[in-house]
Amino acid sequence: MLNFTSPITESHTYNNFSMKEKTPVAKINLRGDLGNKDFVSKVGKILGMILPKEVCSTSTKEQITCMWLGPNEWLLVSNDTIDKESNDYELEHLLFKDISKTNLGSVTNVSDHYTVFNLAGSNIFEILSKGSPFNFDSGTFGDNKVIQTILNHVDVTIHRKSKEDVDLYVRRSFSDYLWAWIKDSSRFT
Amino acid sequence: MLIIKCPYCGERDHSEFSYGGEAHIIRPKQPTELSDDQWAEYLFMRKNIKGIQYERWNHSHGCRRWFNMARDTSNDKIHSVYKIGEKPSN
Repeated sequence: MLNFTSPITESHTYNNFSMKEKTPVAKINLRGDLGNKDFVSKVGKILGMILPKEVCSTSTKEQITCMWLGPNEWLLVSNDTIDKESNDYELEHLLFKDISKTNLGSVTNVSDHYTVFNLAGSNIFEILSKGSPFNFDSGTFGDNKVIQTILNHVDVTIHRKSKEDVDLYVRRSFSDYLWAWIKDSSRFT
Repeated sequence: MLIIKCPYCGERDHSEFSYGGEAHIIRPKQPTELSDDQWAEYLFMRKNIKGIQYERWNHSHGCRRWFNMARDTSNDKIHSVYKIGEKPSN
């Protein structure tokens, strides 16, 4: 994570809803072909887990969570916050050496691209559904699922860890705007 | 609201998608051998039919993948959705 000043300076609580920025979190975008056995086995070896193949699913190990973004695209995030001063991750080096350098796929460090909001409370999806066309009540969006959709005109990635614990990934330049919107919305549910 | 079934993500609202024009237009193999009229025909001329039209769509606010769709332009009914490179089923 680079040493920038985040526009989010506070955490927010209203009744039983609370929201805080989770920072710094390492995020790596990984792309490659699942039909390529070499790619699958090398990634599996480095991560110690199999890339989620199923639509909108995630897989988790002690330190990293791997999220499905598309049939050939994944987002790897660190479960815990990491060192603030450094933008240098061992995982990225390993992936870069074995995947990028050998032209099996692409590895991009997007840690500074996204801001993560951690939402907690019983009415999270009531708030989110006010600004999103996604049907949060459909049976397909259960725990440990991840979706990409629009929230009040902004592209977001929503990771549902449980019904009352959700991580929301938003582009850093939109984070201030979306923070203000969620904060405002949470007062009227 | 129009619900579109993305071949990768499943059913989503149409506002997550963008339209990409007519599908299955083949680029001429030797553009240099074409007359200006033939080249303009390939570049600009698109069908605008009433009935089932084959179109390209992009799930731009979701998985960002392109796919094809057979849509009835008169009533917005979606007849089939299939991946790029595949042939329409009907």
